[in-house]
Amino acid sequence: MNPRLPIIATAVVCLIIGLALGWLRLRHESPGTTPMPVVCESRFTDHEGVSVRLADCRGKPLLIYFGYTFCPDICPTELGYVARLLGALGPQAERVLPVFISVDPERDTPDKLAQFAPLFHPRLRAWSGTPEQVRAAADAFGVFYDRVQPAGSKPGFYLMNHTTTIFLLDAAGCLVGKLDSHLPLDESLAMIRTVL
Amino acid sequence: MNHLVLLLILSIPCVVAVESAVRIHEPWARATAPTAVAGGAFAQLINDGASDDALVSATCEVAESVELHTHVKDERGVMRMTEVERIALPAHQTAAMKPGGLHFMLFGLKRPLTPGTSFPLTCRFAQAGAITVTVQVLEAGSMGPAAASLGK
Repeated sequence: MNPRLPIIATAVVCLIIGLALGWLRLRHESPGTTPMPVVCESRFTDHEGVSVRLADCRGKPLLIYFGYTFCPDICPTELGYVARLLGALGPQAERVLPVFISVDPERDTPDKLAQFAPLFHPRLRAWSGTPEQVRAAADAFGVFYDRVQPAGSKPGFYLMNHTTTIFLLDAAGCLVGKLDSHLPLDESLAMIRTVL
Repeated sequence: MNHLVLLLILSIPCVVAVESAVRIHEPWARATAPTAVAGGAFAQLINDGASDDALVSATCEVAESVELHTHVKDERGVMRMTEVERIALPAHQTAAMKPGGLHFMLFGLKRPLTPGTSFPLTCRFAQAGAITVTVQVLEAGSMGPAAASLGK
């Protein structure tokens, strides 16, 4: 037996592993290649008390926004923007499912969400879940949030700092775009129309 | 007669002082859910005068307290809301209190803010003193009276 065979074999194996890892990484990082569905197993309760998971929404493009109903400014701004997008889409808006996920499940009970969602759009769904489920969903989207208590505020009072991105998912559940209210409406509409 | 003239002369500066150089343009608030405890209001603060001023506090009867707040977006795209002590209003300038930035934060709402209704808001300026305006409540997702009139 050739004494160099084990060395060559090891080198070939390493090369194959290296190439495979490189290919996986490339696939993961290039937005142009096949997008993967967002994996989120969290179970939520919507504002009508219905149990729902992200995977249940396949078949329709989704606009997903993480926020909290206590938010007096940013969340209304972004949800108002979502409502304007849906309005501008006209009848095509029926194909899009707008979803608000609360990062403040402690205060945002389904009852609260039921009062909140219709303020913005009759078809807006609002989801709440356990803190663990919400955290898992936020992680799946790369959403950051934390609780802050302003100096001098009453005990129990808090605000949430949070990411303010509106995520666009296609009907297969793949993340295809990130929107926010600073984008001109036409630009966001163009992105949405690509997945209708 | 001399006294009367003197009184008139002395009263002129008082009249001038009452005529404030600060105006609060198009104050508006967003509608809230029936059980909401916080709300946001916005306005354009306009200083037509030659001296600097600043908004230092505000009160209104529909909320237990009103704070002056702003938003700062960090490098991760996370929005952080912080209280500001005052909103500077330099001479001949306008400070825009608008969604995503400076706003009146209404804490402890005593009643929900319903579209089409209004409420008085008293703003206290360092120089101009107290100015009370009527705040119009617009839709929850509104971007303000100017955007509404453009049909946005």
